[in-house]
Amino acid sequence: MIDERKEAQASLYVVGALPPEEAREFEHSLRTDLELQLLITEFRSAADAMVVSFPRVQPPSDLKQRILRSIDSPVTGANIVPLRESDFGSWLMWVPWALAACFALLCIILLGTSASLRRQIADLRQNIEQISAASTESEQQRQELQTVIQQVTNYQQRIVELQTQVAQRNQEYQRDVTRLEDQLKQGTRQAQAERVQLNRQINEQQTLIDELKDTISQATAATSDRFAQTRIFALLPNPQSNLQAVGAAAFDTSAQQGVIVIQNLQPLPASQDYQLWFIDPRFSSPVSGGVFGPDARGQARYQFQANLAIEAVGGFAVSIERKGGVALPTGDAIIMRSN
Amino acid sequence: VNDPVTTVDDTQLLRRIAQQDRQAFSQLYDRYATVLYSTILRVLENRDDAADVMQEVFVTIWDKAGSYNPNVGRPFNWVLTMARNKAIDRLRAQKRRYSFVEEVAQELQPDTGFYDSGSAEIFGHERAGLIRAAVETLPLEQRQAIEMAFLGGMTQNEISAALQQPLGTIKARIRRGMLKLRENLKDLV
Repeated sequence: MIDERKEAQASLYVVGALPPEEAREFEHSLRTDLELQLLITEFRSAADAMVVSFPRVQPPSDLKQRILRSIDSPVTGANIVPLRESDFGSWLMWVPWALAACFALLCIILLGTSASLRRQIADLRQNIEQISAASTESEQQRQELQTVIQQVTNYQQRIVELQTQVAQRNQEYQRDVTRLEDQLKQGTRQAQAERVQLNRQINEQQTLIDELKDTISQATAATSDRFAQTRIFALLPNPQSNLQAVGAAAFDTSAQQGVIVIQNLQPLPASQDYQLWFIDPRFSSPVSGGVFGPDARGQARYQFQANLAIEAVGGFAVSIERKGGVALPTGDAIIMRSN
Repeated sequence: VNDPVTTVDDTQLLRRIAQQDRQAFSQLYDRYATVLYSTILRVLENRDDAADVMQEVFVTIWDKAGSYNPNVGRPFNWVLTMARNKAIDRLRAQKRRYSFVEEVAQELQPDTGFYDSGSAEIFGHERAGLIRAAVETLPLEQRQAIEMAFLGGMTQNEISAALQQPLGTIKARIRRGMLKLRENLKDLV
C-alpha cells in the first residue's frame, strides 16, 4: 500500500525535484517495492507525455545534415578499419558473419526475454490490481469492523454507566435497608424493654393482686375467725349490789384480748379502782383482767389482755378494789355477765 | 508511446543505430526531431542553443544506442530523458532559470501553428490530441510546479523559493498534478 508520503516522493522523484540525499534514500526503497516501481513507471510515462502539449516548433532545416555530418566525422569513423583485399579467403573473413549470427541470436533471445518480461509486467499489474481490490475490500471491512467496534465500545460504556448507576442505587438501597434495620432493631429492643417492663409491672401487679387476695383471704379468714372466736357478753348489774351500772364485753379467745364498755359507773375515791375479772371454770377463782376508771360521764371503755390463758370464758365481773387492784376479789361484784 | 508496433520499431531502430545504421538513424531523427527540439527550445528559449543541444543529443544516440536497455524504459523515454538532461545542463551552464510555459508560449511563435506535427509521429494524431487535452486540464499552478522541476531541473526547495510558496504547498501541487496527469493519461500512454 502506497501512502500519500510515498506518492509525493514518487512524484518529486520522477520530475527530479527531490534533493539528492532524499532521492538516494527513495531509490533504495524503490529496489524492493514492486508497487512503487510500477507507480514510478506510470508517473514517468505521464510526465514524458506531457511534452506533447508543448507548442510544436520545427528544428532548423539544416540541423539534420549537421548532425549527419557530425557522425560522419573522422573522430566517429576512426574506429572503422577497412578490410584488405588480401584478407579475403582467410578465416578472418568469417568473423563478421559469425558476429552477425551471434548478434541475431542475441536479438532473438532479447526479444523473447522482452516479451516474457512484458507478460510478467502484465501479470504483476493484474496482481497489483487484484491486491488493490482486495485491499479496498479489506479497508471497507476494516471500516465496517471499526464501526462495529465503536458501537460495541459505546454499548460497553453505556453498560458501565448503567452498572455504576445500579451500584449507586444498590448502595443507597443498602444504606436505607441498614438504616431501617437499625430502626427496626432499636424499635424491637425498645418494644422488648417495654414488654419486659410491662411484664414486670404485670408480675408486680399480679403479685400485688395475689398479695391482696391473700390479704383479703387472710383478712376474710381472720375476720371470720375473729368473729368466730369472739364472744360478746352483756353485763348486767348485780342484784345484790345497789349500783345500776350496765355494759357489754367482747373477748377474742384466740387473741386473748377484749374490750369492755360500761355506763352509769359512780366515781370512786382515789384509793379505789374498778377491777375486771374473768370467770373461767378451769380456774377455782376469778382471774384479774386489770383495773380501770370511769370518765366524767360515768362511762368507761377498757381494752384488756388476759394474763393467763383463758380457754373457756364463762363470764365477766367488775368489783371495787383498792388502788392498783388485787390478786383475788375482796369486794362484791357490782356487775356480772348475763347469759 | 504504448503502441507495441511503435515501441518495437523504435527499439529496432536503436539496435540498428547501435550497428551504425545511418538509415535507421535518419528515421529516428525524423520521428523524434520535432518533439525533442520543441522540448529543448521550451527549456532554453533560444533556437541556436536548442539546435546545439539537439546535435549533442543525436550524436549521443549514435554513440550510445547500444547501451539502451528496453527493460528500463521505452525508446521515447530514453531519448527524451537524454534531451531533457542535456537542455537542463545547458541552462545551468548559462546560470539561467527556467521560465514557465505561459511566458514561453507567448514569446515563441510555433513555426507550423499546429501541435500534431512531430508528436503525431510518435503518438498518432488522435492520441496526441487526447494527450494534449488531458495535460491542459491540469491547474496552472500544478503544471507550473511540475514543469519547473521536470524541465527546469529545479528541486522542491528551489521551486518553493522561486514561487515564494511554502515547501509543503509545492510538494502537494506536484503530487496532485502527477496523480491527475497519470489518471488522465491512464489509457493513452
